[in-house]
Amino acid sequence: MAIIKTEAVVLKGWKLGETSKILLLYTKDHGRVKAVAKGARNPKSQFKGCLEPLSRIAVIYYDKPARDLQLLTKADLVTPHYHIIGDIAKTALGLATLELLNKAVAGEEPFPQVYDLLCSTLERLDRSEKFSEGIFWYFQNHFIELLGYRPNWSACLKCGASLRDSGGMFHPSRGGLVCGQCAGGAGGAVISGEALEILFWMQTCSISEACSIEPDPVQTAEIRRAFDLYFKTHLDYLRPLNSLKVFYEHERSKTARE
Amino acid sequence: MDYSSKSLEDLVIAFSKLPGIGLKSAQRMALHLLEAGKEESEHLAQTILALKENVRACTICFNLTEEEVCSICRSARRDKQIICVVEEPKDLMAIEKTGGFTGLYHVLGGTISPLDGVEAADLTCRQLLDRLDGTVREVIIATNPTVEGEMTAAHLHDLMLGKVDRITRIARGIPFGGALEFNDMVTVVKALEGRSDYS
Ligand SMILES: [Zn+2]
Ligand SMILES: [Zn+2]
Repeated sequence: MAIIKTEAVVLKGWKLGETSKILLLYTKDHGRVKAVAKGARNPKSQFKGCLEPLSRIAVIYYDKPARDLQLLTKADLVTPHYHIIGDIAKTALGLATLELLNKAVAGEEPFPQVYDLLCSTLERLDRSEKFSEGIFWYFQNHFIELLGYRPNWSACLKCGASLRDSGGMFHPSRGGLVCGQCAGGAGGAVISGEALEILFWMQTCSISEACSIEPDPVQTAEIRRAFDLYFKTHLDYLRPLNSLKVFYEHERSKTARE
Repeated sequence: MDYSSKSLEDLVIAFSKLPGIGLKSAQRMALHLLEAGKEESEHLAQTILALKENVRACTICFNLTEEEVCSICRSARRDKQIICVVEEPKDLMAIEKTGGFTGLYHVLGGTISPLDGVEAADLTCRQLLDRLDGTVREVIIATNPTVEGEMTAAHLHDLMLGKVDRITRIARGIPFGGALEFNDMVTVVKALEGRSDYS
């Protein structure tokens, strides 16, 4: 048995018995870990207030490789996300990030770049005052790249022609975008040049710039579809995301009220 | 486990699945029933069956009841202008126990939990809106102060906007008898944000 000291983001929690909690953690050094926090639901517990999903915490746990449930002994909040809590859009986007990550990672494989991307995404989301969805787009763009499927948002996959002006069509069997000519009759969903411009730019911009854009509703719909199609083509099991459904529903009712 | 009787073993396992009951307590309970008279076991079995057969959700507030409408909704002494929204019947029971609230309730049946596949449509939000017919002046949102409870509260607020005069949220803060220094950061910040005028 080893004592592990690391950092983690809480992905999910379940009640266990009268006062305890089981947690699914995404740790910096050991990937996904399931741990029990004894007495965590007791109001006097040392764990209180830091084991909610989205919390970034410093943890100490006893690790027994043969066991699939580890024992959490200490947890301290590293970065609280005060402004995500209570904001439906931010919470739904934050949970969508966790949902996507949880579906993608397998077991105790550490992936520090993914961990860092997750932390900066949540931190930025907490501070965002503008276009929060841009932060989730940024996450998806970089996450899929880290998983080894960097999208080409700027050129036709077949002939290499630039798509920046003409836009492109999503070609599922080619796994990406092609130009109108190469698509022939087999082209799928059309993504405009403006939407592709944003997607391309987001591969190199900073995360704080990602929430400063102001896409119109058509571009927004195209970008959402582009990510959906891209993930479905390459990593089918990562879609759909329940949290995104909550986010879209909230956006719709907000627009309807305005 | 090594029981010489299959029936005994079955009952011990059944008891141990109940919340808060470990194998040791389960075994003690089973052995107790074995020693006690047959009537005790019959009574226990019938009580459990009656629970499953008779208890259902109130058609108005979704509290647990044996009637069409629960005793709180039927009571003439309750203030019908104020509804307190809670996640589960056990939350309602916790408030009722205090005797400090005289309005009506609405039980949601959980929270919006995307990671568990629970959507707003799986809760009783629609039915809550149907209750806002002009007689209700205030709705208190008393979901738990968790990520999902707060998200659900915000969703309810959006839904009810313009349909009721006053929408309030229970205070989040320092527990009674507690000290600032021993509270977690989120609690302290939320307590400051939720401050109210000194009256
Ligand atoms: Zn082409
Ligand atoms: Zn009722």
